[in-house]
Amino acid sequence: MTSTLLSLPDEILDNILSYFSFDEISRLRLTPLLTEGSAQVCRALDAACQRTLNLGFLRAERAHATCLRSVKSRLPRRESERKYHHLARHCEILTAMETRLSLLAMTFMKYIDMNLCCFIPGKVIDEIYRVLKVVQGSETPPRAHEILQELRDISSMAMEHFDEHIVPRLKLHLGSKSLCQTTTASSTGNSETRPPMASTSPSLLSPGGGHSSSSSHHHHHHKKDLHKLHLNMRIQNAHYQCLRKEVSELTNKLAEYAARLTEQEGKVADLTRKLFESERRFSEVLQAITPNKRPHSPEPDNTSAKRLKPAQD
Amino acid sequence: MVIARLQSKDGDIFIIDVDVAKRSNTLKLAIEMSKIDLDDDVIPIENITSNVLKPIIDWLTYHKDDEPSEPIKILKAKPYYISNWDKEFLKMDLKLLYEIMNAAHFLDIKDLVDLGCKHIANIIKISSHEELTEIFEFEATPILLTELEQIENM
Repeated sequence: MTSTLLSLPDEILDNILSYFSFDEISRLRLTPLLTEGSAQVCRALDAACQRTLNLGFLRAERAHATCLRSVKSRLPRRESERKYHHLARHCEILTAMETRLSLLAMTFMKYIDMNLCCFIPGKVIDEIYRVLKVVQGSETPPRAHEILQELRDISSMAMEHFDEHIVPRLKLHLGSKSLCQTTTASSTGNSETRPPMASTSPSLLSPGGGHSSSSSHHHHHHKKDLHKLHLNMRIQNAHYQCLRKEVSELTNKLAEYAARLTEQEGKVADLTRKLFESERRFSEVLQAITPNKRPHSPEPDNTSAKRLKPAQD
Repeated sequence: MVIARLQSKDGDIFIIDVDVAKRSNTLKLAIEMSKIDLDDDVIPIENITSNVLKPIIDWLTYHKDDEPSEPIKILKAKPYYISNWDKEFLKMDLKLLYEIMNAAHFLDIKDLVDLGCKHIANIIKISSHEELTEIFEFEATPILLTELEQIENM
């Protein structure tokens, strides 16, 4: 018996959510339901939205990979020709997007896989799809830095916010969870009825909770710097991964060319040997023919004699 | 005109055109695969009550000549146009609509499921938070701090 929206099958819920943009879904997910003055959320709706957001990011990644593959396959192999090809800009945009996507995946996927959160910034997924739509539908898309400006901005903001504000709490939640699990294992009491530890104020749990306000401000400042460094490191890491990929591709190509060269060299050596052999045979034949020419010289006399015979008759 | 007899969970028999019935992929399969003698046999639909089956048959009859909609490749933020007849059809209690959508899902009538989804998406879009709680009977649970962070910074 279906009596509420959330008791409908998942396929139908997913279908309903498909009429929303990912940004709308990320807002709908945590729609604060005001009950008796306190903010509350609907867990079932949250779960459905989380599923859609995670799937949305994975599909966006897949759509990007397919698009990049199809563009690359249509580009010429020579670098000089590729530069002036009409798909060069498409390829440039998609390659720049690849770095962004891998950064986003590095930031969120670890926590998504642990079921601690979902791909929170729905707006980023919308932007990825928008860029992909432009790349797929336009003959001459705008320059990479122009079209990717918004994606770069909102994804950086999302990652920074996630690292600075959400990850520490998730870690705290994870820590308390494991703590809860160990206490459940050791004690006979029912820990499930306890409120989640994450709802406890972090200042009470953090070691620096009793410091003066100036030192905490200083600490916060350092923390911010550290996060920025961390983000920069990640960007560098992503670049490094891309470069590594390119180097491995080039190494493969080099190995391919080296193999081809060896093959060609073998063929050339084979042909040289054959040529040498033919030359040798030719010279043998020539030698064989040359001494035979002399004893044959009286023959024309015979024939001429034969020819003369009827004349004599 | 060849007819089919559909029997609801309540035992009521609905007589409809076979072509109309075949717009449901489940019924199409049942008619074509099992050797039902359409003149004598009834097709029992044991999990759908008469009050749900009747509007489904009405909708199928009205839309019998429609071309089946093409699947949309990029699924996000689909456009939603609803015709006037469908708007009138959707003027019903939400609980009955859920029943109809669930039954349409079972009968594999994709267009009817889509129509219900469009309608609900539309209601969610135009409703305030308080209305959402009331209309959809969302069960509310307290927000965790991590989630509060997400809301505050959205």
